[in-house]
Amino acid sequence: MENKENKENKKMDRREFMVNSAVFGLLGALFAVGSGAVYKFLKPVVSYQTPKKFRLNIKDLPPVGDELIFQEQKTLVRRKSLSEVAAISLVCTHLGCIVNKVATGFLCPCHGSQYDNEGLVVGGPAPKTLSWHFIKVIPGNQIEIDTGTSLAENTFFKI
Amino acid sequence: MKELIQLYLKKVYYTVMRHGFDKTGLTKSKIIFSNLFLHIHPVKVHRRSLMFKTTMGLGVMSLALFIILTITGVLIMFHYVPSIALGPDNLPDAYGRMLNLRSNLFWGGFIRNMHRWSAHAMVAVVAMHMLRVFLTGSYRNGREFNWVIGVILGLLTILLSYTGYLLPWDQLAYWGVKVGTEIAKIAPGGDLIRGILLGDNDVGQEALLRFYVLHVAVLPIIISIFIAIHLFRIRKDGGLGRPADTSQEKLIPVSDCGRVENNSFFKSCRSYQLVEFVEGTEPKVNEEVEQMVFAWPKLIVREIIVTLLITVLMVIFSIMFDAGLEGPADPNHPTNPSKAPWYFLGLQELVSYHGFIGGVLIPGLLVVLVALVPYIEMFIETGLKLNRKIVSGVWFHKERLLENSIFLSLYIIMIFLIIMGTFFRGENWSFVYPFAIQSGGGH
Repeated sequence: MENKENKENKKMDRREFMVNSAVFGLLGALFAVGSGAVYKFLKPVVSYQTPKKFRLNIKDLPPVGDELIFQEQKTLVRRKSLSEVAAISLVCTHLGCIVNKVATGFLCPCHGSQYDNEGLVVGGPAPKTLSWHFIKVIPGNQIEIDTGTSLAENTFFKI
Repeated sequence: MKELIQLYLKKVYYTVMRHGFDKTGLTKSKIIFSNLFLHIHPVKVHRRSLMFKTTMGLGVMSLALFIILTITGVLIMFHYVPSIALGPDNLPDAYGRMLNLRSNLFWGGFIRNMHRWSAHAMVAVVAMHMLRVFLTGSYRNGREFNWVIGVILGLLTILLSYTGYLLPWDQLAYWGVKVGTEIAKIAPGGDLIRGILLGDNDVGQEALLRFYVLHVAVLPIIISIFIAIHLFRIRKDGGLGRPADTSQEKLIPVSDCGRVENNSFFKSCRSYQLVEFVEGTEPKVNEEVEQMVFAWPKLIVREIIVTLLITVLMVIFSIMFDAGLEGPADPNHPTNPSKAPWYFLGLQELVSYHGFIGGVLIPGLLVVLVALVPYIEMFIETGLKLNRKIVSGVWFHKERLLENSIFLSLYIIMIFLIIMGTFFRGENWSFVYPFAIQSGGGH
């Protein structure tokens, strides 16, 4: 008699275990799938901001030995000679503030990082040199500056 | 006729409230447990919990500030648009709405001031509440997990404050948030979190919308749930942490806690003290039955006093000082200096020495250590087989000299860094004396 009851209890346990594991398993799966879907949903797929690449007419470039600041694109364009230009990022490598151009180089107003004229760090918490950007000559007497690139200092491009 | 009307009114009253306001224990119990809003309280509280020096009212004050923030926040929502599209005045919509709130709407400036100052006050009060709980050792003796919940609540408070900081879309907001989200970039996996948070490569329209949704819907719901858990656990743990024996302490006399008439069927019976028969390992079991007094009216009145006090303080402060509003956000011209909100200025000061160590490693480690401090204590006590007497609810207990000194030093260092970042940093984050500050400032 006792044995039979035990058996029955065990049987019930097994059924309960099956039901519980199914219910909690499905609940867990729902959470996993749900959070994955929410993550994918929240992940941005398009940017509404200033495009990373921008174009300039060659005749709009600064004169030889001079430079020009493009505020919107946070970039400084420098012309070494008639056929050599470079683009330097004005975004501080520390925490992304916009650096100011001063006589000695660049100065960040947020945490006081200092750069020389080539963008090399001379003081403050900045970890890296300012990025120099890739420049491509495109048809129609234009150049295209890719602000998404990060090249070494003094990378000039032939135009 | 008059009697009939009285009878009728009595019946109507009974459908609304199930109790009168007499002095019997039954009524005093009913006032608490038949009311949705009051029944988070126990019917009886320890006399110790009523003393000012036990809690300084800081927990209630935090909750009161949260309620003020919810009310003023909902009011502001009626007039706010989370958009940077240029309006007819050629200003971003969000910023234009701030100007409208400040200068046109009836009491608009006052409501905005209340919201801003209460948000700052809440961060400060929550920090002080944490200090109180630590220095009295109230998170021990079975209440360890509620400390962890409390740390989560503290972080949520800061997150709420931070998401709200961007919404006015002025220079201060933009650059404060910009610096904060750049710190996230340094952390491992931070780029991913930053992308989800900002919804774009940089702080812009998407970020404003996301911060708005987080600020007005997601975070308030989450923090409400955690507040409920926090209070529920205090209640289930039998109230505030306290020594097992308080018979030697100077407490509020029982006669001050309101007269109670015994209306029990058995004249000598105290039916609502059943807890005294229970055995177990929960903190609630060590209740000192003789020291308990009815929560009504003493506790409720004291909570209302604290709530009124902080409300009046906030009202006076909001009338006297206007919440700052700088020019509209300009992504190309950082303010100089760019300062995060004051509670982040300690962090910003650390960041100015080293991005990763100051911005991620130290604060991350600090949060984890502080959140787990009860379990670290337990670990050391168990590992070294320390047989020490853990007394909770006593200020500066001599057994806790080491813990208290470490925590207090950390606290003082943090305050020092915040003062440093707030008052001693000028243009280009260089060292200046407080009186030399020209512009900026960290409101």
